[in-house]
Amino acid sequence: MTELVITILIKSAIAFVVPLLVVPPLIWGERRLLGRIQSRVGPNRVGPMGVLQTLADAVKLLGKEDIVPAGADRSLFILAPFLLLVPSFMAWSVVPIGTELTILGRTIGLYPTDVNVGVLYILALTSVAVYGIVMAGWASNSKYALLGSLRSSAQMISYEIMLGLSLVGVVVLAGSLSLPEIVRQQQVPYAIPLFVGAFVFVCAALAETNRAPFDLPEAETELVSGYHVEYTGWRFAFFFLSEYANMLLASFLVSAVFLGGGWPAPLLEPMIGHLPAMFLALVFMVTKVFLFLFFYIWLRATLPRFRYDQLMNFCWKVLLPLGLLNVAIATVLKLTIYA
Amino acid sequence: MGFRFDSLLPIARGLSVTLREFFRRPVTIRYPEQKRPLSDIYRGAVGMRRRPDGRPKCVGCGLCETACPNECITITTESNPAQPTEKVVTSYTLDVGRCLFCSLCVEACPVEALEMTNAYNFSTNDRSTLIYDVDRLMDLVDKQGKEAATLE
Repeated sequence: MTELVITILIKSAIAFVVPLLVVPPLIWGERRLLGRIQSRVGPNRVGPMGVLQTLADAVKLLGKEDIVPAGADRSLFILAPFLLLVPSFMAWSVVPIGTELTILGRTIGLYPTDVNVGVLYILALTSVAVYGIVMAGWASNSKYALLGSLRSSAQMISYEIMLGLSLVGVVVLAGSLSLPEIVRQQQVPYAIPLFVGAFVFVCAALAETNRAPFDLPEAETELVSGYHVEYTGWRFAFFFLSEYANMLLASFLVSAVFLGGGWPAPLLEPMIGHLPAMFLALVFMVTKVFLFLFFYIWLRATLPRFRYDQLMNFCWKVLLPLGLLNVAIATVLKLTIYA
Repeated sequence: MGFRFDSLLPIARGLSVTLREFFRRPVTIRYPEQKRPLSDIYRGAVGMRRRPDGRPKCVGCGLCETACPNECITITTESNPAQPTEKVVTSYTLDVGRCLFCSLCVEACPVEALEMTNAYNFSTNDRSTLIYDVDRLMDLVDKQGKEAATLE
């Protein structure tokens, strides 16, 4: 019993600490990468090569005055950042970093929990985030914030459907909504049979996390910074943190669900034994996550922002048919090859 | 349909451009550590040349003081009883904060005591330190070329 409690405590600590620990270097890495792509250096003053830059920024943000604008809806204004940050951390409780590890006669799952409706759980939590954004924009009593949140609500609600549709294909093939089970089922990463679904998922994930080229809700050039213009100090830091935590979450999801997690390490298990295979699986998983993050940042450095009508056209006229095609492909595959 | 799939091709091309830039060296010159090489004719602050014995070359005629449009040069002299034809320069100061780097003083000097150096970094928190005395002016000439660019 105590052992169970301890395991749960450790796992929840990891689920909470991983995004907190990975996000600051991720922000630094993004700024460095963007810098290099734009022929400049990027932050390089604080700490070796500037790694501590995000930390310095965080300390600066914490020292800022906490302003609630006059005319703002005070309670909503205060609630909004929490509504955004809390779900993005809660979603980490089902993210599979690996499958089962057997060590010293004990089997430990390398995931905080194995919810049998994991996929639904994540989709549900990402939809809660929309409320945070809408509230932030509405409560700020600022036209820029309101426009940002309007765009965001339309965008996120539309793209959520595509996110769901692309995952339906995976769920059909795996026959399970549990994320570790989906990872276990992949003898071949689902990105190969379901490459249409993978494409839809990547596009929808970009839009869900408000990343370029779908960063309309916070388009600096048009809306100053969108739904969080009026936020200062640690409240602003909350928005920032949740955005990057979501980006990281999307990378973990795409690696687990479409790229097979630690694939192909589990296939090597009969040859090299359990522990080395599990170690390799972790390495592969993390590599995939970072490659995907790199791709995210690379796209941001390359593509200009979509226009609003282009964004909606792309969602409803391109991704929706593709998403449905993905479901059809998955069904056919399930009845033939995966039967 | 508002979207054409062949438009993915330019996106791929764009991605390849940004990737190529990623592997290229940044063009940034990291200023305090790296310095940009100056042009040979770069005109910085006015400096004072030395005589072979190390004293300033200035003879105290005051022509530069007269030529200066901003009145940033101040010279005080006294007569030398041993050699009544020669003046002794007791102080020579140049306010770099007021100097406009016009080089009129350099042209006015009959003994070529002044020259335009390539010194450009005068930043300070105290304006009074911008008034350079003769030793600092000679220093500028001495350092000429030694602080040259570190950038390969």
